[in-house]
Amino acid sequence: MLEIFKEPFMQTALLGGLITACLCAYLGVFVILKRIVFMGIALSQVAALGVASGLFSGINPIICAFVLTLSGIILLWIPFTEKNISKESLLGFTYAFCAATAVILIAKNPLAEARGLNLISGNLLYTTWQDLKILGIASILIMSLHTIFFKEFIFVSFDRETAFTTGLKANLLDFLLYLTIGIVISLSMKICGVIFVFASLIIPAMIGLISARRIGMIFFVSCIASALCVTIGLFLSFTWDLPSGPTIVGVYSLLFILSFLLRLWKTYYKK
Amino acid sequence: MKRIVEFRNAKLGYGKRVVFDSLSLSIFEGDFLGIVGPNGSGKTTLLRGIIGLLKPRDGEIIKDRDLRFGYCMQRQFIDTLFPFTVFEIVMMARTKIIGPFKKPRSIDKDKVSEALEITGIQDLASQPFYNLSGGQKQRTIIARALSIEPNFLILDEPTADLDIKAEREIMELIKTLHLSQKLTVVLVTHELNEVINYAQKFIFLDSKMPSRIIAKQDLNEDLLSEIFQTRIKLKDLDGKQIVI
Repeated sequence: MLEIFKEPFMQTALLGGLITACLCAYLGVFVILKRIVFMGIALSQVAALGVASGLFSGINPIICAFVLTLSGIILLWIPFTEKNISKESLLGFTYAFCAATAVILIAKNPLAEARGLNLISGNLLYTTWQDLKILGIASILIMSLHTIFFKEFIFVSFDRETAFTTGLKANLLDFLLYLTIGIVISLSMKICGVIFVFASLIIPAMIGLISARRIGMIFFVSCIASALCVTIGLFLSFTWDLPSGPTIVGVYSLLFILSFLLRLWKTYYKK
Repeated sequence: MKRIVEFRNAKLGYGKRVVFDSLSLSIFEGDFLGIVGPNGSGKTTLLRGIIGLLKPRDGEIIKDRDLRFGYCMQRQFIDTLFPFTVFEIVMMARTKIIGPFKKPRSIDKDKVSEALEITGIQDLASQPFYNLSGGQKQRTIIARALSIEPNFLILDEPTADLDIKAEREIMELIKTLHLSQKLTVVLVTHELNEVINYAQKFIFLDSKMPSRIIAKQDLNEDLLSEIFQTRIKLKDLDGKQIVI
């Protein structure tokens, strides 16, 4: 297995996959804690539209993805008070609109069309050292922010109203949390694609949640599970000539099902 | 007595919906105020106005600078998906006091232990919140509010869906806290019977009358009948009042 990771393109793919998956897995715990899973998928699609817009217009796709995702975060962060439309419906609209527009933009651009499939399914094998450099710097900044405000992010995600009454700047903390999620999604989109990014946000955190009994362990198990799945997924993708993104998502799903069955068995066995 | 919260013609609402058009009332230090009204009458809106979660669109809400709110949100809204222990949940309230990038100090742990002891759940400190009974969960929420040493305790439907034993124990705990720790208490409920023997003052929402504070000694059958638009009887039983 180690042999294939001697190839330079596999090394960048592995590194890119590990950084992205671990960041998404860590932030995914907050996504589930805040119950904003639909926001995760909508933002992933907004970022995908950003990349498609960049490829269409010739502007740097990462910058386009970042600007659009940031706009999406600000719009979705603002309290929604229209009683005739639920926030879920608005997220559904955002997802459908961005997905359709991204497909149209890619279809109308012959140069982008070849990369269109990667945008959706993701192909880590195209990861460059430049991508890794940007991702690495962003990771350091994001993890520094989360190290400083970890307790605050947990409290605001768990119970925003009470956090506010204790004097915490709940709105600002909420925004910073959304911002870090948005940055990771927009940076990951170009190299990993929508399916991989969204799956990395949700599935490892679910594995952590059903496997661990302490909040700290949930974060740890999520990150370890994502790293393991990326490594196995890349190996399978290389061996069987499969697209890397969906293969990793398949491994995520398998691990989740196994964890779930193990949990069921433990519950049944205890009884 | 010192006035600590004052609503002056405050207009409160969400989006296009106006819940209170012009609300004027005052809360004084040491009050035990019961806010009574059916679901959707604006009880939580009023609480959010007191806490500052909802800013008035018109008028003003003036608050004493030294207020430290201990907020007990509705138990049903606390997430039970994650395995937070009772100790962790109570410690959360001290996040601001601890400060960013710092671990809880021994004083923080002492304050949390003290709050758990006052609420009688020190034995449950390491239990996951989701494993607790309704009454134990409510005690955890009260302990969390107490851990920051508040001078103003706000409780949103603390006895909703509790059995009668747990309901009485929680109300007795709140009464003890009000008296022993000299806390100002505002308690929201949709059931007058829950609070009539504990609160000193009342606000009745969703009635034909404008919202105003009524002292307990002024409560009588005629006034309550007028407020609730139905015949109400007040009876004494073993030194306690019951509303029929």
